[in-house]
Amino acid sequence: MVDLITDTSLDVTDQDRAQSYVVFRLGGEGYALEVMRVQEVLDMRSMTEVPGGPKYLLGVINLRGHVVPVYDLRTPFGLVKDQNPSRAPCVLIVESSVGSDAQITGLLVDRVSDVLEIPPDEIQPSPRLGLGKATPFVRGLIRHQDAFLLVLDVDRIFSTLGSLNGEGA
Amino acid sequence: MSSAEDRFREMFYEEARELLISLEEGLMELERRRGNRAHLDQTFRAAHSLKGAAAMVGLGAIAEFTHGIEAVLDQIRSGLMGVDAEIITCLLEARDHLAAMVEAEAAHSPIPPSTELVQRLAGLLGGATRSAAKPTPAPEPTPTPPPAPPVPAVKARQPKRESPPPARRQKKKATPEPPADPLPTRYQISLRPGPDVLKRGINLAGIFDELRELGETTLVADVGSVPPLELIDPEQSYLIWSITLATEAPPERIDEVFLFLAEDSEITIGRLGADGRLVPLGGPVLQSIGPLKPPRRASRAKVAATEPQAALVAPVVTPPAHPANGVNGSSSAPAPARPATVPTPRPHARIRVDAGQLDELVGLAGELVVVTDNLMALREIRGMEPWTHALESLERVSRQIRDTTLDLRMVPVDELFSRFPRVVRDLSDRSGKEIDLRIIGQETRLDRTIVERLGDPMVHLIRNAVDHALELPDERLAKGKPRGGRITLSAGHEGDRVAIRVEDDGRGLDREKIVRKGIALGMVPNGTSPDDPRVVSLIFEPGFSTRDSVTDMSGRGVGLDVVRDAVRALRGGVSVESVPGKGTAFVFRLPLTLALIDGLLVETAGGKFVVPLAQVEECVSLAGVRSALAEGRPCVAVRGELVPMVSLRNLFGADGVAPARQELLLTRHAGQRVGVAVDRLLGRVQAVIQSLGEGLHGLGRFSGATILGDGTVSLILDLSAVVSESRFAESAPRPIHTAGSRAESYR
Repeated sequence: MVDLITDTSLDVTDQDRAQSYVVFRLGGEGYALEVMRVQEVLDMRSMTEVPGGPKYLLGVINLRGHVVPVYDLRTPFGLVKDQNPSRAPCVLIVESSVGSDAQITGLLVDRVSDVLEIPPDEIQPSPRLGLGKATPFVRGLIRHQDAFLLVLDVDRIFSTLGSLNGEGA
Repeated sequence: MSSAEDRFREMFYEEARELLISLEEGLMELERRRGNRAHLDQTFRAAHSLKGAAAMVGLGAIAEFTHGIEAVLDQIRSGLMGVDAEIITCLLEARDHLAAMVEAEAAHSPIPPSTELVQRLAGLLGGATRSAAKPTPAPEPTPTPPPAPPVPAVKARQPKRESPPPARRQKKKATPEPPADPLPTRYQISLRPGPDVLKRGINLAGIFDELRELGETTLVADVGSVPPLELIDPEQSYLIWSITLATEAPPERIDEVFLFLAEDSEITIGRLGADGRLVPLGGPVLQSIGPLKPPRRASRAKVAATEPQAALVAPVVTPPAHPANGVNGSSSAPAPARPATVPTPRPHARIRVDAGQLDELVGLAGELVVVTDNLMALREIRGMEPWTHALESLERVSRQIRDTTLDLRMVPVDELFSRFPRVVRDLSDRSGKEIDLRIIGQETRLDRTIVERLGDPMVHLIRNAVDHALELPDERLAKGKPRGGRITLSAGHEGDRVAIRVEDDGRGLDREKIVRKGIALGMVPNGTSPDDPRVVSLIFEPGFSTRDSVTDMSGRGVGLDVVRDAVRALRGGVSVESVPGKGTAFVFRLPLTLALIDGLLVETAGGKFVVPLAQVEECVSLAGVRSALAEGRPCVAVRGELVPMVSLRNLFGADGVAPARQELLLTRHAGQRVGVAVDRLLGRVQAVIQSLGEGLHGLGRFSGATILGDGTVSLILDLSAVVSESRFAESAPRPIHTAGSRAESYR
């Protein structure tokens, strides 16, 4: 009985407890993604290209027996590729839900830099304009070390990419 | 709502869907086999169980609406109502509405019962006497004399009766047997619910309410077996109930009340003699009542003794269940009538399995086979004896697992075919064409996904057949054909594929008209002969329809290209055979399973791709074969035949030079042989197919991906999509119509 009570009180605080975010860099920008969404971080490995697939689709990989597509968000976000990367990029394995289906997708990133705990009140709402092509996919902004981190809305990214697919962007 | 309640609801929806299917089938059968008693009972039971189940999870509106259907069925079953097409139509419509109510409830947006249907059902009950006048179909092989004219069947709400107790309402029997007196019989019931009844969601209070509807009920709970407080499991039932019931309903009605309890509870029902003595009715109720003499409702002599109780009995609203049976009693009751109240015996125990888990299992089993293959390859290198044995058994086991799990996905195609009698009936009703539907080979088994997805294409073809192909009765007679058109659905094996045919004996395809239209649309060159084999396949092209008018049933702007695409998505093909004046047959050829394919591993421009073996008719080497241009397309001569060629390299936009010795995969597309050039053939593989996921659905040329033995991912090429794609690319300025799915994705 006593346990039960403590449990519920924990639940209450849970809502305004700080959430952890994975911070990564892509095309010179800093982004953040809820840590709960990130399954793992992989080193870049050999990929099977999909001839005729959209440009943002780098290819598909074998993730422990599952075929997982890997996307490069630089294309839809309008970012330039780093010509001389200091180190090999890596792949974030991300869980997203499109409709009622959960799916696993890989996102290419230049570098995973940190995991931060951010209380919800430190996340500012995202501006309606001004973030370029990434604007619709940004849920909010986090001020961190004199710069802003863009908090990504992965569900929206993947559902939008899915519907853009036919354009062969 | 609690999660337990949610769970019960979920279970209810599943059960309801099954019951709705049996109800539909039952109603369709009813029309054909009017008088079959066992069948009627079964249909009635579907409605009854559905009502009970709905009430149990608190879906009152559904239960009540079902009751309307059940009541009509009950009248039919009691022989108080004849069956005709109109009644069946009404019941079928009510069933459809019921199905809609259930689905709406499942989607959390309940819809109300249709008042129109409720009234029509009630109307049927009201008009029961009309049809009951003619000899009704009740129990078929009974030697019972047919309902004798002087004692007409009396329907429920007409308190018309002939003999003794004038005050009581007497509303049973269509038989001329000595009218049973209406006085209530008293029953002593002892009920010891199984310990799990509460967990199964059975509402005892509801059951007692049902008893009260039958007559006056006294309930006494025996708390003797209730354990001390600390030992009580709140989800377990400990009480033993002893119930006295005074009712004029036949014992079968009491049976039905306990229907849902019967499987794990101890129930004994005894009749109380007028002197208060208990006349046991024997063991477990549900079995016991069958062979029993009808409760002779205390002989005439005892009437006086029981009379006083009559006044206490609540009037029974529902009509009796088994009139003839109960009254005639004894040996004349046909045996098949009995199963009425016994829960349906199931030929095979079945469990429901989550489809996703099943797919996962199939995938795992497939991988196990792949792993085994790899180990087998290692064996070649090491050549160690004990390894060999272990590997061989591993191979055997993994293949068995794979085969069994694959088998789990297979369902008889009957699950698909069984809905068509209804579809055809409705179409026949609306079109005024008489149709005889034949079904052959419904036991053929197919992957469940195929069975699920083939429904719409088949409905489409059947509608087309009724709407366009079959002639009206007069026209048929004039042509020397039987009045009624025939549609035949058949399924059977053809090699490692399953062929499903939809065949009609109507007017056949009008090749002249197709050619004219094809030329007008620029799909075939001018002057094409109607006998050209390509002509027939034109009907599968997007935008092609020889009908300009749109009818209610077909031609809603959706063409056969949709059918073809649906079948292709299942890695199958569709072809058509047609003889003018004799009829048309559409044939689907489908793989047995979708989870696994036999494939050919090919290499092109450095990438490895799997091509389903089923799509490849032949492989020829391109070394030394010169390609030529015919009609603006590259072609090669294969054994004298000029075959159009598609280069995979070109399609992929690959750089570099193709090897001198390319290979040509010959496939059949729209009735024509087409070659697809690849760099190299690497060998045969068995591939477990994985979906490419939401984001890649637009890419038709790849039907999925698979993981090769070395752990790399290989894409599965769909040759027919590759060919259509390249045709589109090469004939872009030509018609807008061939653009197909590719064009759609541009919007």
